[in-house]
Amino acid sequence: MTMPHPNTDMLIEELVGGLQPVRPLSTTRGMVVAAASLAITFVAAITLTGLRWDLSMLAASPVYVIATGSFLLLGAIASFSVVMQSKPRVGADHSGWRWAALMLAILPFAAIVSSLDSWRSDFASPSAFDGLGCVMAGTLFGLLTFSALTWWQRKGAPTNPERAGLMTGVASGCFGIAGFSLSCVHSDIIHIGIWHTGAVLACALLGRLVVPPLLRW
Amino acid sequence: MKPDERSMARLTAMAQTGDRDAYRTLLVECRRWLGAYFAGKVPPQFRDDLIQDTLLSLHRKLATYDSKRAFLPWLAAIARYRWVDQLRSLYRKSETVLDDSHAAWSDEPAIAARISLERLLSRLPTGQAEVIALVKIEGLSISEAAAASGQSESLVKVNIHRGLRRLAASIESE
Repeated sequence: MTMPHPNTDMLIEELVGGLQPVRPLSTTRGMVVAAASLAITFVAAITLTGLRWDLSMLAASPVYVIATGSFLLLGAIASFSVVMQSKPRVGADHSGWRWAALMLAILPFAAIVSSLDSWRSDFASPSAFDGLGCVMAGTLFGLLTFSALTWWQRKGAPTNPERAGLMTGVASGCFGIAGFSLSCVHSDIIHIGIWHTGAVLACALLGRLVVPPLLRW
Repeated sequence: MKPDERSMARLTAMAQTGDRDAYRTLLVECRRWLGAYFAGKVPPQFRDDLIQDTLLSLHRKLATYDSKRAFLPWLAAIARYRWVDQLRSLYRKSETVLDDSHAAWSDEPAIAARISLERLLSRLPTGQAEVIALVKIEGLSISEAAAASGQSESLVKVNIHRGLRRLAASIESE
C-alpha cells in the first residue's frame, strides 16, 4: 500500500482550489464539428472549382457515385473514431475503421486490375495527367477537416496520438477528395482508384507525421 | 466508506459542475486507487510522481469524462498514458540512466526498479531486451553493446528503437 505523499496532499488542495465548471466533451458535438467541416469543404469546392456537369444534370456515373460514397463513408467512420478517441477509456476498440479502409482498397485494386493489359495508354491519358492535381486538390480541401479534427482532439485526451493522427489524416483525405470530386471531370475507375485514393493516402501520411506532436498532453 | 465505481462516477459528474467538496473526495480516492494500480508496475521511487502527474492530467482533462460511461476505465486510460509517457522519457534521456541519476538511492528501491524494468523487458524478444538493458540500463555505448551482444551497431540501434516502441504498444494495449 502506498503511503500518502505530503506533496500529493498539497497538490490535491491546489487542484480543488483551481476547479472550474467544465462542459463535458460530447460525441454529438464532435460529429457536428466534423460534419460542418465537410459541409464547408463542399461549399468551398463548388465555389472555387465549380460543379461537374453530370452532377448538375443529375446524371453521375455509377462508378463515381460508388467511389465518392465510399470516401464519404470512410471519412465519417474515421471522424467518429477520432471523436471517440478524444475521450480516453481502457478497453475501447478503435479498429472498426480498418474494415471500411479495406473496403475502400477495392478501388485501387480495381484500377490496377482493369489496367493490366492497357497500363501504358491508361497512364498516358489526360485522366492520369490530371491525377496529381486531384491528389493536391484533395489534400488541400482536406485541410479544413484536418484542422477541425485536430482542434477537437486538443480539447480531448487521445491516449494513442499516432493512431489519432492517422485517423485524422484518413478522415480529412476522404472528406477533401469527396469535396473535390464535385468538380473533378473524370469518372473512370483508374483515375478514381489511383489518384483519388492517393489523396487519402497523402493526408493519412500527413496526419501520422504532423498531428501526434500536437496531441500530446 | 470507500466509494465504489458508481459513486466515483457521480463525484466526477459533480466535479464537472464545479463542486469542490466532491472533487476533493474524488481526488483522494483516485490517489488511493492509483497507488494500487501502479504498485505492481512502477518502481516505488517513481510512483508518487506518477500519481501526481495522473491527478494533474485528470484535472486538465476533466471535461473528457462522459458520465454515461464507467469511471475507472477512464481513470485507468489516463494513468496508463502517463505511465507510458514516463517510460518513454525514462528510456529516452541518457541522463536518466538508472545507474547514473539514481546513485543516491538506497539499494532496495534500486533493486525494485531493476526488477520492474526487467519484468517489462521480458515482454520483448531476447535480442531487443538485451540491447535495451545494455544501453539504456547498464549505460554502455552502442559500440560496446554491439560487442557485448554480438549484434552489429546498426542492428543494436534498430532493436532499441523497435523494442521501446513495442514496449509502449504492449502497455497501451493492456
